[in-house]
Amino acid sequence: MVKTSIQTVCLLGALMAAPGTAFAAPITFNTALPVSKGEFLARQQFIVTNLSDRLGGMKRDVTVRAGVSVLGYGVTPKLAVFGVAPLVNIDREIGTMNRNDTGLGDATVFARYEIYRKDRPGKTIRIAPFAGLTLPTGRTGKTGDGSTDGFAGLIFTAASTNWNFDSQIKYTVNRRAKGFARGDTISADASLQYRLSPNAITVSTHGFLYGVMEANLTQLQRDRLGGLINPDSGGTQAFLSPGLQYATRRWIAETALKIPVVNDLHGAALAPNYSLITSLRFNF
Amino acid sequence: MFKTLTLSLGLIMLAGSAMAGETGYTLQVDGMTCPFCVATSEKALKKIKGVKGATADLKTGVINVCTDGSVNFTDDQLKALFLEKGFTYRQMTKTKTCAAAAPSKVTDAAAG
Repeated sequence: MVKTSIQTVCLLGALMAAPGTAFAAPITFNTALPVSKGEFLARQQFIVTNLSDRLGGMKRDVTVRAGVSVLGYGVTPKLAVFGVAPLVNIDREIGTMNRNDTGLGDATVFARYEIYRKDRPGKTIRIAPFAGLTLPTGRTGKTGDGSTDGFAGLIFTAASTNWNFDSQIKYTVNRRAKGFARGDTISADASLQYRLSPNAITVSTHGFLYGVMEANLTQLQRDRLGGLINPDSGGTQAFLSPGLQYATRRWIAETALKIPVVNDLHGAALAPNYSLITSLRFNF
Repeated sequence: MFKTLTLSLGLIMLAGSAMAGETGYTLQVDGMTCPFCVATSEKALKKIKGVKGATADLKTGVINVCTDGSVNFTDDQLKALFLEKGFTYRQMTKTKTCAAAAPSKVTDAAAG
């Protein structure tokens, strides 16, 4: 049961690592907008996630605090590569058991390649597939799940000076490590960023304030432990994430609250309560 | 009186010859949607030797560039420049002055 909690926590952390760009972009997942050739993108996310419930009178409470560092680089105008390194603190309180682990979580590397672009004055549409690996850089069973996992997906972005829309589908293949294999996941995400301020753009406008609403749907397959299916794992989760984003010429500050609206998890799987995400991004 | 008139004409001619060196370009660049797009485009143009200034209108995708006259932009050069930035260069218009490159006022009064 504790192991299930750990895996759920690690999965949530991985899902929320969203590299983005210095354009207005989703807070909880990726965008197809470009990283200019030869330019770097740095992003620092701070994420607090809480999962808790009461199972047969036993309180279960897990809080994850993560500092997720992201570095992206524009290799060509179409190809960008990213590295994501999370530093996590996991506080577990399961009945009378208390445990706290801090350290490097599982790092992620991936590449994104633009396959479609249609630009018009003040508007653009981009489509970009991506693929990558999550590496077992965390301590197995504590801050990581010990396996090298692969993922791939497709992002669609439509952007204008007034609003941006992004959507993503992603499939993650989770491999076995030390007899444990987390279930594969498939997720679908959508984000709308609407410019709230300023009403009028002038050449002296240096920043846009966006209102953000995101929806995230994830289908989790059941975990396997020693070849046996864990009945207390897998299911369907859906989240809504309202947020705010301030985008300037060189940096973006943003925050969102990820709230579960569907927690249809199997058996006694621990369900998330909320995630609070704050983030800063820089281009240089 | 004659001296004053001569001096005035001389100053006007001097100023005219100094300004004659300036050349303006109006570029149409598509796909810019945010303050960062403007910043990165302006920065790339200002790195070019001879470019004195650049201002972009986000809504229309028009970038006005002021040069000292030593720059001769080509379509291929600008296409490559904006491709690297992730945008699409369409066309340019060359003007004899930099007036168009001066900062303008509201460009998107109806937006929002």
